[in-house]
Amino acid sequence: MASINYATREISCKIVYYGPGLSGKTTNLQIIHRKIPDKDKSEMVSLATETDRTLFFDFLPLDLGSIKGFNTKFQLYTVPGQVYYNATRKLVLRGVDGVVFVVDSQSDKLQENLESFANLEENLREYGHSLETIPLVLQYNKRDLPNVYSVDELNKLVNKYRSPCYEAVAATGVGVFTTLKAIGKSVIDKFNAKYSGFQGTRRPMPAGGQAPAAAAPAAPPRAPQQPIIPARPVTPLAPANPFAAAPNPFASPAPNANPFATPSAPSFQTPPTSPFAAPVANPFANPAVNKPPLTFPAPGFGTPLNIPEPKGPAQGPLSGFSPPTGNPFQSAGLGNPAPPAGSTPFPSPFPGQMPGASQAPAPRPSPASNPFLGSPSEFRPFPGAPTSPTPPIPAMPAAPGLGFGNPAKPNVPVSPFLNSFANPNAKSESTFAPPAGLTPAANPFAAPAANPFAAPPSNPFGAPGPVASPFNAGQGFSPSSNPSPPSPPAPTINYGGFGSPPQAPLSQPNTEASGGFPNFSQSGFNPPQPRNPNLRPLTPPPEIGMPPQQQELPPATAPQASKPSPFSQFGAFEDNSGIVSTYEDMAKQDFKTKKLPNPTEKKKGFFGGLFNKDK
Amino acid sequence: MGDFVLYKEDIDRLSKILSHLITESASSYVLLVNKDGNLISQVGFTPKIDVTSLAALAAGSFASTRAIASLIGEQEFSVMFHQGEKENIHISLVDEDVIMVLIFDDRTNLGLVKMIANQAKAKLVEVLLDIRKNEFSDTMPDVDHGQDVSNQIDNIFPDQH
Repeated sequence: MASINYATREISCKIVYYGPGLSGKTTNLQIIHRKIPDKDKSEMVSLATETDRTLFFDFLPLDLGSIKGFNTKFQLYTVPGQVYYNATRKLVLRGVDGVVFVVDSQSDKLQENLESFANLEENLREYGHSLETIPLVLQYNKRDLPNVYSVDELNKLVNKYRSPCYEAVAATGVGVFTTLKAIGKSVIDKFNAKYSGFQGTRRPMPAGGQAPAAAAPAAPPRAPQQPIIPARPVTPLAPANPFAAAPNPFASPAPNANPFATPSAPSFQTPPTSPFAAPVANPFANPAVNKPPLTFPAPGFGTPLNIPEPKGPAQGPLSGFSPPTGNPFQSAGLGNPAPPAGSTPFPSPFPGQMPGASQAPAPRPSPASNPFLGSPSEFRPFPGAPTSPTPPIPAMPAAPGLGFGNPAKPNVPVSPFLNSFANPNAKSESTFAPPAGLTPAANPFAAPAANPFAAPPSNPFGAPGPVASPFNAGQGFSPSSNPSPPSPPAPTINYGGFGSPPQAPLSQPNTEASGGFPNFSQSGFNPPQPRNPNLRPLTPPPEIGMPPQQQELPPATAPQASKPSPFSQFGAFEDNSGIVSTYEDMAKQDFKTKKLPNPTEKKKGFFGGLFNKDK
Repeated sequence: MGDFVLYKEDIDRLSKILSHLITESASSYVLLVNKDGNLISQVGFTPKIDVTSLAALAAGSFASTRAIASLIGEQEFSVMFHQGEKENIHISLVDEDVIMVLIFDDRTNLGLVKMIANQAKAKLVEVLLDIRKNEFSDTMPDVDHGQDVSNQIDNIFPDQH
């Protein structure tokens, strides 16, 4: 089933190409993959035998980009067509949102087509679905071969559900994209129909071919994927940019500009487009063939649904995370200029006029609502940095390709996280007592140049692409009232009071050795060094040094150490997950500290060193 | 089994647990994937990894071992481990619909990863239970969204008919 991610505003749908062996399912995907423009190219995964027969599945992710504020992604799968691979075929069907049934039009393949279609029905039934609820498109492939059934014959023989059907010669690409468009539209239309019933306007979906008058108004103004029966060229679409119609959040805060605002009535009351509608184009819209309209399961149909409060993004554009529609540089489509990644902080020109600000109160950034603020006290990934305001590892909500693992961009001037410390309201309470001699300025962990956690190199919640700047997120919580503190010059790192740097159980990742791959160094501890002279190491402003008397020390749960450890004064840390760990505790668990003896330590005992091959 | 609806809040909760998980276990990457192959959440350090494909393949791999399990009379195998020369993958079942994929290398060891993953599992289950109560609280902004999808495909593949 579709996966809807509000954090990244993504909808992901699974489309499966089904059909008998050698009917051209993999070829369909290969053609699509070949034609994807290089900039959007994604890898196609093919689990095939040595003879290029599909063994498990082929997989091609297809990112359609942002459509009405939702980044729509299709995951195209094929199944192995051969009869004896039914076990794996069934696995691929799990969670399917739409099916393309590729029919081999050759006359001697009819039986295989029918068997495969029956198999599809049976496998769907095992998942509790049926072709009456799952959008289905038929592709009559191999139309260029001589001994093929006519389309009419295939309609009678195979097209049991009177689904939209298209002729194709997949090997040359003919009909491949028409089919793709048709199934994409069907899947999304069904999605619309499923989720547009908040005011009881959900309607039973008409069966394929039957186009009741109710669904007729929803007919697309131009139906580019009319079934090509008989085959006819599809008029090339004008290069219309659907984003051009997207409401500009600054121009006019239209109701639809922010989908999280009060849902506008028109979008609920308009009858949804039927996935089977294609009324004007469907050759089966023959009144003589009257089938009862099929209905989609409609949970909540007829009863007013409680529209749940949108949880995350409804906090408003200033609450730390701006949904793409709330961010002028992410939402306004391709036409709007986007600041280059890593540019200087760009305060929102309209801090109070973000779409949705009128509906949703824009609270002051609070630690709880700010991803960069709230987390440090709740979760500290590196216990070795007790006073460092180390934010958690920036989590990437399912958005591949965000350069989370990349090294920090060299020209990121200031961490949005550190920025937040200038705001007294946004002070996070810490459970740590700073060690006596460890002043904030001397804290080696405060230099985010080598710390991939302190300065998220890209906006983990932003849309991938040209706007992957931390300041997109930064806009969210302190647009203009909270200017970034100037960064002090590079601090001299000392370890205040400690003769040697404390050995963190998990030392700071060292990004130098592996080119951006944070490397949990085995050598115990690497003081972060600015690896690029252009990088300005950041230190927190002096006022964030938290006086020790404000700190609470949770009781350490570790067993009493026999001798005092430098870690003991760090106290324990606790995150919300309930695990209480002390540094002693973790240091004891740490295999690395056990594995790596101190090289300067001399062996003791009579035979010490005698049998040491190193000597 | 309905659609998987994730809000930022859910992602934050999951990410916090997963962040803790990878730091505690010294793994390099962790993915939460549902059994359909959809990526739910991911945290980690590995650059240039095709997480979409990884998610789909991990789900497929898990599904196939499930089929193997049923052949020998088991309902399913809850843990899978693939050992490589440098990188290893530990796949474990979180709940009936979600699997967790942990990538780690020789800087940690399987025992630790297993233990920490088990600890995280209980917390993840709680969050996932809440996520399943989520509903799609928004409608598509426009009923003609399907047409937009069609147009967008036309834009991506301008010369194909």
